[in-house]
Amino acid sequence: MKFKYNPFESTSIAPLVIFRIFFGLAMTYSTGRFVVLGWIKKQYIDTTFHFSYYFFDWLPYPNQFVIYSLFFFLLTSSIGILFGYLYDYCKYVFFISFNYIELLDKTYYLNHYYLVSLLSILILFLPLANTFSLDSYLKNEKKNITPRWHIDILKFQFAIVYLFAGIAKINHSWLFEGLPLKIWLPTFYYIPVIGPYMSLEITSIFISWMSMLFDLFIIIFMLIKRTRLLGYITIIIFHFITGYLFSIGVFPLIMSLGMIIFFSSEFNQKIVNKLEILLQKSNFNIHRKNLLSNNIKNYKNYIFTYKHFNFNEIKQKLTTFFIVIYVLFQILIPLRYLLYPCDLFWTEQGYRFSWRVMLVEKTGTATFWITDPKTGIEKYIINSEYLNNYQELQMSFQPDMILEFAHYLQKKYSTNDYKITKIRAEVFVSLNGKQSKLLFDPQLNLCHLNDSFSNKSWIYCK
Amino acid sequence: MRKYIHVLILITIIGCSQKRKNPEPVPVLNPKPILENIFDNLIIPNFRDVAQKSDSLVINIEKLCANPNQTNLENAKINFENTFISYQHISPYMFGPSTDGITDIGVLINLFPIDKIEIERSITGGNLVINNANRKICGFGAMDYLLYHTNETNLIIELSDINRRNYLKAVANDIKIKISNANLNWKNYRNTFVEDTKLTAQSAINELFNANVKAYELIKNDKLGIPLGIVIKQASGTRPTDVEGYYSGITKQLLLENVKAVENTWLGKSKNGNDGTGFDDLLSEKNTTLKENTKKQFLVIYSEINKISENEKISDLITNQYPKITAIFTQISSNTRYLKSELASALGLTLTFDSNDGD
Repeated sequence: MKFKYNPFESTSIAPLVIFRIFFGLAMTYSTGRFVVLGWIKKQYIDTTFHFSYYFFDWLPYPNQFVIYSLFFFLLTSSIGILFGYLYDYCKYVFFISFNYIELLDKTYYLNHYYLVSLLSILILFLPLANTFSLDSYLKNEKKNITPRWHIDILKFQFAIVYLFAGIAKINHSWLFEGLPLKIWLPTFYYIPVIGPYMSLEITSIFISWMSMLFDLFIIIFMLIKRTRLLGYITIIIFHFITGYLFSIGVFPLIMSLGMIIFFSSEFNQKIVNKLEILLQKSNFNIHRKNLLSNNIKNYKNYIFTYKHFNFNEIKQKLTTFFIVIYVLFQILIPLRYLLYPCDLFWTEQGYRFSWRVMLVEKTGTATFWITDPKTGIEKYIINSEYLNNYQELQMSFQPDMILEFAHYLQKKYSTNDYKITKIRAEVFVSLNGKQSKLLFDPQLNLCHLNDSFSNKSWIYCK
Repeated sequence: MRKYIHVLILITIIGCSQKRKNPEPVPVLNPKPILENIFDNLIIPNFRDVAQKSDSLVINIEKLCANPNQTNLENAKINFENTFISYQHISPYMFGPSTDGITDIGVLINLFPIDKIEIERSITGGNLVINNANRKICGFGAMDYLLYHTNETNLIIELSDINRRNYLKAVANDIKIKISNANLNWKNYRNTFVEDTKLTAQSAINELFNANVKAYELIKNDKLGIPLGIVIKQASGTRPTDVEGYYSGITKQLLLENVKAVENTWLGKSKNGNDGTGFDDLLSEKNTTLKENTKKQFLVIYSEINKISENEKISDLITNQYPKITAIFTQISSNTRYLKSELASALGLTLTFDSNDGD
C-alpha cells in the first residue's frame, strides 16, 4: 500500500482563519487576565531570585519597565493576530514576547503555556491572515487555499497533547489507587448533589479511568466525521468540568477553541460566513465585499483549479524535512524519561514538556545549610527571604531547581576572601499525600554538583 | 404462587427503601466544624483574654507611674508577663481581622529585638508618639526593656523622669489599642470565617492553615534560629540578646506557650484543655500515620524545652549550653514537614494563600 499523503495538496484556508481568530482571542484574554490579576508584579517583579531554564541561563533578567513592555507587546500582538492586522509583524512580536516571558522563571512552567510556545513557533510559518483579516482587506487580496500541512500540523500538535496526557495517566497510582484525585476530589464536597460522592474512592478511580480514556481516544473521535460532534461536545464538557474544579487558568479555553481545527473546511467556512454576516449587520465595513472571502462554491472551484501548490521541489523537500524533524521531536521529547532510571514522578527527570497534566500531588520541605568557610559553623537560610510562596513550593520537590537555588546561594554569599564550598540541603518530599521521604542524602554537597541531562544519580530512587 | 410473588416484591421494596433511609456515611472533608470550633473556642476566647490583660496592664502602668514603688512595679511586671504569655495564644491567628492587609498586629506589637538606644533617645527627646514607623521602640519588646532592664530600685528611681513615665504609658496604651481593635474586629468576623467552607487556595481553612504554619516558622526562625546565630545572613556568633523577652527572661515560657498555641490550633484544643475538632480530626480518616507523627513530635519538642529548669534563661544557655537550645531548634524543625507539606498534601490544602494557575 502506498502512503498517499501529500502535504502540499491545496485545501481551504478556512480552518486556519478560524484558528487565528480563536487563538488571538484566547491569548488576548489570557494576557489581559494575567495583568488584571496583578500577576506581573507578583510573579516577575516582586521576586529576588528566578529559576532559569537549562540552555537559557544566559538570558538577562529585564528590569521592571522591560517586563511591563513585554506584556504590552504580548497584548497588542495578540489583538493584532485576532484581527489579522500586520500579521507578519505581530507573529514575531508575539513569538518573542511570549517566550521571553516564559523563559524568565521556570517556576511558572505550565503545560498549556508550553503549548502556546509551540504554537507561537508554528504560526510563524502559517499564513493565518491570508483572508478574512484586516491585512487582506487593506491589501485587497485574499488567498482562499493553503497547503494542507498548514492545518494538519496544528491538528498534530493538539493530538500530541491529548495522546501523551493519556499515556501519562496509564500508571498504577492513577488507575488503581485513584491518586491524586483521591486527595483533590474530596475538597469539592460542597458541590450540590454530587458533592458527597466526591469523597468516595470509587469516584476518584472512575474519574481517573474516564479521563485516561478521554485523553487517549478523543483524537480518534475528532478525526472520524461521524463521531466528531460527539467528541467535541465531550471536549467542552470535560474542559468545563476540569476548569470549574481546578485552577488551571486558560487551559480549558485554549483546548476547547483550538480543537475546532479538527472540523471540516466546510464547517470552518460556515463560521467564517456567520462572522461575515455579523460584520455586515454591525455595518462595520462599507466595502465589505472586499473583505468577504468566497463562499463554499467558489472555494471548490479553487481546489479544482489548483490541485497542488506550485512550490519548487527544493522548497518542498526542505519543508517536508523540517516537518518531519518537528514531528519527531514532539514524539521523542515526552518519551525521554524512559532514558532515566527510577520513578519519573519522584525524580522528575524528563517531567517537563511532556504533557503530564494534573498528574501528581507533590509538596516538600527544603532546608538549606551553608558551611561558614571561616568558622566551619553551619547556617541555614530562611527560604521565604529569597523566594515567594509559589517558588518555594515548586523548588522544594524539583531537583534541578534545588540545585540551581543552592548555586545561587553559593554565589550570593561568597566573596573573594570568603569562598563558600559546602551547601547541603535536607529535602523531604511527599508524593501523592504519602509520608514524606528524603529526596537525596542530606549530607551531599550541592556545590559540587552540576545540572545536566545526564542521570542525577544522587537522587534516591523512591 | 402469585400471592407469594407480590409478597416477595413488597419485601424487596421495603428492604430497598430501608436501605436508602440509612445510606452509608460518606466521609466528608467539610472544614466547618474546625472553623466553628477554632473560632468559638480558640480565637475568640484567646483574643478576649489578651485584650482583658492588656486593659489591666494599662491600669497597672498608670498606677505605677502615679506612684512608682516596689509593689506597683511588681504588679505591673506580673500583669505584663501574663499579657505577653497570653499573646502567644493569638499568634497563630495573624490574618483577617488581625491585619490591615499589609501588616499584622504581631509585627506591630511584638517585633524583637528592640532598639534600646532609640528607645532611650525617644524618652530623652520627649517623643511620645508611638507610630508604626519604628516598630523596634514599641510593643512587648519595649515594655520588656522598660520594666526589666535594670534592678527594681534603679527602675523606681528612673521613673521619677516624667518623660520615661509618659513613654511607658504610651507603649502600654499602644499595645492595648492594637489588641482591642483586633479583638473587636474578630467578634464581627464569625460569619465571614465560619461560612467560608470551601477548600480553595483563598478559603478560610487554607488561610488558617497557612497562618498557623507561619506562626510556627516564626518560632523556628525568629525565636531560635536568629538568637542561635545559625541564619546565614547574620554575622558570625550567637545573639543571645535577640531572644523574645530577653530582659524579663521569660523566653522559655513564651516559647513553650507559642508551640502550644500552634499545636492547639492543629488539635482544635482550647486553652482550658477541651479538645474539639481540629486538623488532626480530618486526618483520623485519611492519614493516621501523619497524625501520630505530628503528635509524637510535639511531645519530643516539649520534653526538649522542659529540659530547661526554672532558674535557667534561654539567653544564658545560648552562651553557656549551646547544644541544649540547638536540640530544641532541631526538634522544632523536624515538625515542619508534618505541619506544613505533609498536612497540605493529605488534606488537599494549598501552601500558597493566593491565586495561581496550575495544570
